[in-house]
Amino acid sequence: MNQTDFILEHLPCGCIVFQADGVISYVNPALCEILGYNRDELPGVSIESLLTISSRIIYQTHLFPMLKLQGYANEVFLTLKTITGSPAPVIVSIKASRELDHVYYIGTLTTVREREKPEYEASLVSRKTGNESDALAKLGNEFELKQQQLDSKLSQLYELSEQYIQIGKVLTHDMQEPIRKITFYFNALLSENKEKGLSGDSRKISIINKSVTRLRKLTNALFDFVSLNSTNEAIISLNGEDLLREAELEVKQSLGINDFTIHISQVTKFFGKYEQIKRVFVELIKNSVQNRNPERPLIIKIHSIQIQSNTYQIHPDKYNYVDHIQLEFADNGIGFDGQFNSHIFNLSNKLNSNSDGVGMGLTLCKQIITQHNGYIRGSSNRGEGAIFTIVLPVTQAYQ
Amino acid sequence: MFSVNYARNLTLYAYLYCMMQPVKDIRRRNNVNIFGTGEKVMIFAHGFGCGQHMWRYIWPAFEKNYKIILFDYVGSGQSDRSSYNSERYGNLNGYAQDVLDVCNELGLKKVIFVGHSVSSMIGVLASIKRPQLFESLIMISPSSRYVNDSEYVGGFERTDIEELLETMEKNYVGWANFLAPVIMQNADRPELELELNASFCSTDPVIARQFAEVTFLSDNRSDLAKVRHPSLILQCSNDLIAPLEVGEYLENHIPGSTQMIMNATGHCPHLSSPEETIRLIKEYLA
Repeated sequence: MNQTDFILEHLPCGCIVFQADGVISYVNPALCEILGYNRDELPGVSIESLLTISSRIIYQTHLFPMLKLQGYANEVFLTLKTITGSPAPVIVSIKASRELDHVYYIGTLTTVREREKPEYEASLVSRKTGNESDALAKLGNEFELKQQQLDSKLSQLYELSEQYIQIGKVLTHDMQEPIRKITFYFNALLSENKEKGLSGDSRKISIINKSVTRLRKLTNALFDFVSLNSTNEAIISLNGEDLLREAELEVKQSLGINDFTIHISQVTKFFGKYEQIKRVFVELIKNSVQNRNPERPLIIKIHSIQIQSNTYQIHPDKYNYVDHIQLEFADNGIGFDGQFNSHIFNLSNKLNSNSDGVGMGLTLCKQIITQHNGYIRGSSNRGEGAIFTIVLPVTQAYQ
Repeated sequence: MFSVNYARNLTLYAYLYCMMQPVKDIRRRNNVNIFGTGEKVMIFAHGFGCGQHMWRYIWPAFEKNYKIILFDYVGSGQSDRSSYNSERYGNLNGYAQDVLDVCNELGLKKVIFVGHSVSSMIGVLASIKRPQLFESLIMISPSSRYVNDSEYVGGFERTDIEELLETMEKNYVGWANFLAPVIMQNADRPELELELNASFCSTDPVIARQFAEVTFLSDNRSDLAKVRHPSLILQCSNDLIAPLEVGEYLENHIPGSTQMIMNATGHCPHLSSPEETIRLIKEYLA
């Protein structure tokens, strides 16, 4: 026996050689002893068959890729399966070596049973609890700070919302009365002039008439928008399909337009305010009708699935994935320019100057959806139809 | 006088507040690398284990005809580990958000998503949330659930996975491979940079432990029917992690899916049999 063989035979740790496909070509006596096999039983079998299931996962996800990509892996913890089935924890280091055209993986395995002794585990535990109490104290401080921030933000929001309601009241209710008066006396003036045979300037009259009508529509819509909050509706379980069909009927009746089709996929039940959600559906369908392509019959496809989405929308580092319902409204209308994807939800931003809406519908939708702790987005390319997606929590936990 | 609801309505202010938060650069966060000269986009998503380097034998075969996007999930490969958030990445949807973030950041649409292992289901989750961003899904060694469940064969018993997590808890898997590059980095010796770059399989053991838990205890069976894109399932013939029964289950439950059973064995055909993997993807995309 030469010196190299002698060293290998008496090495105080396991030594293994296997090929790229995992087939073992050499094991030394120390490894056989760890595993309880006879020496001639191991060459020819796969290295994976010597591992417990969890270690085979580590072999597949870490060890094999490391050997393949970087040619070595150091100090990987694995558990061997001995002949009796009992586990033998080892630390493995493996290196790829090339001989002619063949790659061999040569590895050493050292048992770590001793290191499993209680003191080692105790040190792990104390390290862990130490980290945990530090982390807890840090969290406590952060929580306190966040509460203060939240409180200050909330008080600002209360103040702002009071102003918002006041402005809303002035803008809408108080303005409705003068507009009503202008309309009334303007019409009276017109009919008086007619009786007297004064024709007047018909172009100017029609402009005044149009402007007054638009002003009235705008104030009505604004009033609608502001008063949405004052209704105290209860949150109930909603049947999306029924609600969509009701909304469809309402749009057909209010616009007097019947020549469009809505396909609705199965919608899981979810919680929300009946009137408000219906309003969203009405506005979205209306939006499709107002922006339909005159060259083809309008088809709206409503597709619904359940997904998991983060309940936190503002806080950048908070995540809590819960069940949401995702409703997608896809139409074949004129669409809009993709660059306006978020712009469309702003107050009174109307992209289609030919439609007779006042540009309030989508803003209203966004407001309602936000109140339901959900979100809405729209995407489109001009000419390709528009897709509006609503994502709403299945249950309303925070109302 | 007025309810909290009023306050909540003023999302505008909340958005402004949000805008003031620093936005992490997604490209740096996810170590995004872009190659290729084509118009169509292929995004390659690595699985549990190593990072984007796993694709090194695959993507060059597509770079002439496609724009290639490689990235590391936060916590893996050479991503920005300081962005790791255990709430977010305690759910596969958090990983799916990484895919969506990268697509949004780069303005990608109609992407061909190629995912390995758990990334197949991450791709499914991303594609059902934002269908417009995707064109097709290519899943390599996918599984909808790893743990057996009455009739369903996932390949593992729950105790197997618990043992895996316990093994990972011992932290041996990563320490040497994870700590080594940091030590080298501190030595500030540029000649070691090559070795530093070779440390892509290193993972923070704590992150790896959570990724393992999220992966191997996941159950995405109810998401399969929601897939709306055509998909290819590449199933290895002898894969401990995703056995043949799983591939068959996926093919039966994902509408519009095609399964190909590979000659390749093991869980990483893109490393062990890159030629076969490339050929099957090319045939599918043709």
